[in-house]
Amino acid sequence: MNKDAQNSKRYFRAYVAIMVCTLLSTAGWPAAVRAELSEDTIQETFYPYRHGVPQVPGIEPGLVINQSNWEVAKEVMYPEYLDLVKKGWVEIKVGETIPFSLPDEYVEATRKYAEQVTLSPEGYLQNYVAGLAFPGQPDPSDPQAGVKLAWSFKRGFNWGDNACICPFYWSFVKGDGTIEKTINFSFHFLNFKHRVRHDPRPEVLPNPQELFRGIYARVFEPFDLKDTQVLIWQYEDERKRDDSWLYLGFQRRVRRLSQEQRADSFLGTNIFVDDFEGYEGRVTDMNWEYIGERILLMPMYKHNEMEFKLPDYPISDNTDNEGYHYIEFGGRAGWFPNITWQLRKVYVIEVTPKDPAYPYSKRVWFQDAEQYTNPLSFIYDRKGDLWKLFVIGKSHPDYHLPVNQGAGANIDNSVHMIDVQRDHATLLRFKGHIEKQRPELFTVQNLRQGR
Amino acid sequence: MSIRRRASLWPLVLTTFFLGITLGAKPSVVWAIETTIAGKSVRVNGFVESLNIFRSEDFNESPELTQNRNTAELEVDIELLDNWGSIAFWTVFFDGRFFYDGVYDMNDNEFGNDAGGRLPGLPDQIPGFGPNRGFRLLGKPPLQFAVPVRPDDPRGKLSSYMADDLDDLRYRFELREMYTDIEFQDIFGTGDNLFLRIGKQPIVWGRADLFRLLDVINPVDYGRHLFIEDYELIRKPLWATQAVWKFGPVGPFADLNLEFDWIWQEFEFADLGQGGTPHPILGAGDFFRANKLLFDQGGFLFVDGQPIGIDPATGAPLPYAFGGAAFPPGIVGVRGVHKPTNKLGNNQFGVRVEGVYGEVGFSLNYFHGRQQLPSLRGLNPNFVPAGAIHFPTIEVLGGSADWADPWTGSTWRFEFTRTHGEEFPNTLSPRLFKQSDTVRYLFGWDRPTFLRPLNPYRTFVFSGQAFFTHLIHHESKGSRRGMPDPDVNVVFTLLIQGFYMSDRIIPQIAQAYDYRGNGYLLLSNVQFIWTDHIDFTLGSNFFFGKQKKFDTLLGFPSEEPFGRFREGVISTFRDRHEFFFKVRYRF
Repeated sequence: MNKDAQNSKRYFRAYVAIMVCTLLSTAGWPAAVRAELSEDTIQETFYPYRHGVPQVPGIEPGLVINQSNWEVAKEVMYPEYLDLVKKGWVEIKVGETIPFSLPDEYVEATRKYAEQVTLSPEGYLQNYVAGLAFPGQPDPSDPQAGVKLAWSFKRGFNWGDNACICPFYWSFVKGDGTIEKTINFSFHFLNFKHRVRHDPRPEVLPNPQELFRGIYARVFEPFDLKDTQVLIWQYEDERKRDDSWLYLGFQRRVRRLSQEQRADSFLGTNIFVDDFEGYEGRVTDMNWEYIGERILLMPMYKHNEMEFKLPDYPISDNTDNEGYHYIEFGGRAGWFPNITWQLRKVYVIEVTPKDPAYPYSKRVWFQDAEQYTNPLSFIYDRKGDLWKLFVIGKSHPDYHLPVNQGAGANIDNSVHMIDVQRDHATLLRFKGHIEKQRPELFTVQNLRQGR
Repeated sequence: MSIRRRASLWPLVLTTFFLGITLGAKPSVVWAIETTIAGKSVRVNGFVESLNIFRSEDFNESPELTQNRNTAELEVDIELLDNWGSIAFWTVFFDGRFFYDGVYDMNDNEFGNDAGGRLPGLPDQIPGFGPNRGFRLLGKPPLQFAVPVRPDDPRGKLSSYMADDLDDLRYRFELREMYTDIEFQDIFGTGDNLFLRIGKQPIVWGRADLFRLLDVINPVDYGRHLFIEDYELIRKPLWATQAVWKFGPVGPFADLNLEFDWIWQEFEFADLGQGGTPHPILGAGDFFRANKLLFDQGGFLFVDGQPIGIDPATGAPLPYAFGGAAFPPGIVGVRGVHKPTNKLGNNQFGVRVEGVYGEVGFSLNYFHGRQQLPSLRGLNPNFVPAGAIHFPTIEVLGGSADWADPWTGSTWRFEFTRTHGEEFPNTLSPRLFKQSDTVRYLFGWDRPTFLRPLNPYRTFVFSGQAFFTHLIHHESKGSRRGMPDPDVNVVFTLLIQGFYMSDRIIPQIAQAYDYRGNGYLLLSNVQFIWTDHIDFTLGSNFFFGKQKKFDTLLGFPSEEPFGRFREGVISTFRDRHEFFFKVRYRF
């Protein structure tokens, strides 16, 4: 073999080696070779009020919007909810707009990883590691703008890496104010992946099922539902549908739940499992159409500065033995949380199910442009008529329990789901704690240890 | 039931009703008693309930009271430790129940110490036997047994086996459960947890509703109300240790657990309802009491309504066609009960591997224990119908699985067992019983489904099951000799449950069809949850079936004694239709 031929072989091997290394580096260490997100995008995404809070003429902190002056709020409230003000069912107290900044760790993860995140043609998330999936101002001309916002919600910081709500009171209230039933729960959340703030980071291991998140709930009262437990597993790969189980205390058995039960009343409430936290279903089960950006009044506030005056509702003196006050409800039938609403930058999305048999025909979804959570949505039945008004009041963490201060998460704090067709509501009172959760809680075996 | 006795029922029912209204009318924001004792969280819950069941024979007779069960139950849950060093948690749980069943007072001429009547064709005083009162005839002609039905009548009672006196039947306090739970975390640095539950407890296995394939560790009290009550109410908790090694997510399993159960208390049998009580399942309690009488006294068989084997004038046993032999005491019937003693070798234990693999939940189970239903073994190998009750050792090997099917929106359940050592009656066997391995399997399907014309806002639950039984070593000759239990059988069930007014009105219809027993059961009820504290349930249970005859060893077939196994539990209770009303106050 001559020298040229030997060189050719050597060059060929070197070429192959370089190509293999290039391919490996692209596939194996994408973050290392991708650019970080620009500071401008970071600022635009996470600090929308850096240049000042929204201002709307006539809407000032301290204003009370009621039946007599509802017209002042026409630009900052959607008619579906403003109608309730107009009818005198509720007064909206305007509070000061305050930043609800996400924690630095989440922002940094976004800065580091967001550029590599893509969507498959079917709408599945790809190359996501941590942080907000799709930062930046949504582009109205982007047909995927809505679904990108949906993913930013689903992989949003929300309650943080782990949290529990305990106690968690769900009350069934009729249109005449009669409380039909109250359930005392505890709810627990654990992100198995994409953890940025609490150890273990970035993942709870072992996690052979590649779970993204676990939700575990247990009923303490009333007696007929006592020890009912629910476990939901959400997989990292959305192609796998969630798995869920129910433990019935009176049977002492674990039953697997079908998908159909996710879009059905949860234990008789006005809330579906799919409604949990705004939307607990799969992103790809819905069409997400981005409508636009608005400045709207949203139920976000400082919990510790709300008005607490009711002496005996829902538990004795409305205060627990740690001095924690539950948000009180008033207005028509006692359906409306006594909170303040503040002007916020909001992304409006219309969410329609791909499955024509789904009980809802549409959600109008209002996504906060700072926390990427969903404090407000309107839900329509299959005929297209308004069915439910879903408000999730959110507290700033620094004005909540000491354990939550500095957490960066908005704390879900008071909910009403009003069924306008049946003149009925489900009201939720929270005591949320952002704290470590035992992974064992999120196993099926844990359900079997019930009473 | 007399007018006087029926009227005496109403004060109690009305008192219960109005007490319920008074307590239930409070705003639904009153909670369980929750307090702290010595720094430990203590939660107390409970309920008071009154269940009244009326029965009408074939709709022809006016309904009579068969149960007036008033129950008070209290649960106490104490948290001792939470996440303390290597202890993940440590809790203690108590559950006590007291009940009073007023049927033995309010309808005592049916089920109390005035129950029953004279045996036909016999004198008021039967020499050597006592007064001819407090009897009923069991079964339909041609062959019938005389059953003493009064609770305090010692005649026909088997020692320590369904032999309660009146007060035991009327009142009882039961320590239902008393156990401690403790979980150790990160055992030996493996990351695994060890969960222990020690004390009196139910251990529930399996995925089947109503049928007990794997759920065989705890016996149940069928005498309370057949198999219609929730097993939670009739399951008999046992003193046991349950240890679960929790591997958690490991390898290909999303969750994997190894459980060992050791039942260290004395053997408990399934209660079938004492002879003379309102709900003897399969009529077994009546049968045993009649046959104990037969063994002790001789005679007391009735053919075509006439006494045979006993002289009506003197009460002395007479020769009868049964082998041409006399029918004196100690020849025919049930002699007694062989209950396993409480020694270590008689302890029962179970092992279960339970986990989640992919999208399938599964379990593999093994149980070494005792047959909880009685087996009547012949006393001598000559086809003589005299025996003693045994509870043979059995081995149960089985498994179960469930999974959710997104395409049909359903969940599917499967459960199977193979039991070795079970004993069944067999008229071809000299000792009148035979061991047969038994394979049981069940397919279950659950689907919530919108029926929008009936309720546009809430799904109805549909739950269907097909339960198959195969007796592997079945033996028969013709259709009426051999083992009366069918060699193969299937029972279908279908439950439809609706929810209205925020799940406060819950109507449901449940049906069961026993293919070989020709039994059909229709249960329907409506529960109204008025407040968090009070609910009412109104319902009916209709039993339909067919009489089945089988070899009697007397040369002719009859429903007694073996036809009941052909009929199954639904057919044996045929035409005894029930209506019930329940009110419960809970806190």
